[in-house]
Amino acid sequence: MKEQIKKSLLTLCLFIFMAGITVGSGYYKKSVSSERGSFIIALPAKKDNQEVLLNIAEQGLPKKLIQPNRISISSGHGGGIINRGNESLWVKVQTEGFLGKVQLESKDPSFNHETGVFSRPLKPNQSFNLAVNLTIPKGKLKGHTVTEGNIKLINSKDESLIGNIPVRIINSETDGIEDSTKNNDTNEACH
Amino acid sequence: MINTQIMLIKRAIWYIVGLLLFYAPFALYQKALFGLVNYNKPADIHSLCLRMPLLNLLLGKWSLIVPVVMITLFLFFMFAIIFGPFFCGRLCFAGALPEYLSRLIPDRFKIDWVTGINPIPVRYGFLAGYLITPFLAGSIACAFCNLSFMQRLIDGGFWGEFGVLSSTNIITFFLWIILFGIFTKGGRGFCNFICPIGAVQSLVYSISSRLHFTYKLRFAKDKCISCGACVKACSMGSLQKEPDNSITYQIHNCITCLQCQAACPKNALTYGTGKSGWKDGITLVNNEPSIQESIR
Repeated sequence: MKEQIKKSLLTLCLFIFMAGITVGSGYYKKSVSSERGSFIIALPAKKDNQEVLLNIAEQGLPKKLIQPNRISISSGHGGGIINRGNESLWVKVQTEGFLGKVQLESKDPSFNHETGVFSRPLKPNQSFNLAVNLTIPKGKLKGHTVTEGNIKLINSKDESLIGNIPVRIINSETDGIEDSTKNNDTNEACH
Repeated sequence: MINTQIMLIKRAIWYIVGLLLFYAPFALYQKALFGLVNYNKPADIHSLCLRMPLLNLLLGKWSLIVPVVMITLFLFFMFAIIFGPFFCGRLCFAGALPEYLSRLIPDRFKIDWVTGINPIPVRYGFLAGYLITPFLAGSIACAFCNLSFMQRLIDGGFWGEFGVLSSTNIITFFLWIILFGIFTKGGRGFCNFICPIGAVQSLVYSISSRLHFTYKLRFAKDKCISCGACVKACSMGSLQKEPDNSITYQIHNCITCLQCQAACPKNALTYGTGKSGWKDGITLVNNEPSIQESIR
């Protein structure tokens, strides 16, 4: 009987312990959520979107050890580039000003990641998702402003700008004297 | 031995079918279902994720609960009720990958977690935490998802581009493939401890296996010689041999992969409908003297 009670108590403790660990992992995830940038933009936008600001110093230890120089700025799984207008939009994505390699990704089958063009129109109240993945040269991570640039959304019919998302990546662990963006290594994607 | 090898190959074929069904670029299941309900979204493993639909359900956004998820949920539970943890035992490529990889590593390098730690309170504790976390710290569904990482591996051609990884992705990979994978006896530590899909299926199976018409792992006590071949073959550690030579079966972490059935030289373990044959129906302990002991 005593053995049975001891066993049950141990089982209960393990259950509570694991539930606690899991909740703790949720808080950990929250603490490192700034490793990824996110944005939502309503098109056509009359002014620049809110700036996406990422701080490399806030990366979690695993990220710092394995992949500190690879950064993703995305609109999330559920869309994020939303057409709030009354007409369909033909969207093309361009980036400018970022250091290193820039890759564009979207789960939308109509997206060409090389040209940055969505081949199907974005109908009113529909959305596309987009991820802009940056590979910054490792030596350039030490400047206070690591890199800054823009994600531009262009109407591919008339080449007019219909949305702009400014992005700034900083490293608050440095003293702010060195500035990585002051060189000629900037790359632009999808012209 | 030959039966065991054949079973391993048969299961591998099933898991490849699972890969073709659920993972992009194939995602045949999603593509077929999307075509059926005229749903225009990219087809990959994420399109089956229940995180957003459950969130919409909790927030009362009924219109955003798509039929694809509802149909999938219905099939998932129906299969679990009738066939047991069918998805884990047959179709989950993400669960199978570390199991098969661990077979390449000598046993002396592997940790036998299951004999030291009872996996049942751990896996249900994880499930409870998984369900509570969205209300406290935000969902961990994507952050620690091995299915999502599996999609990354396929997208990157296994040895190529993994994409941009977050700290939680890196931890997931380490736990899933390394610590609880190739360096764990059976290779299914992640399935045992931190898979909410597996835990839900096991919960359903533990109840449905009491019904006569459902499929379950059956035990014929009179045929068992307590040789322990089934215990050795069980990658989840759900079959254990006790010091008194009895074989115990823990239904709450069995994935009905049927590797034990193939390993049993006396056909004492079978998969089918009817009575399970395990003592107490669910507690499932065969502590009667074995045939070998009776002969002695």
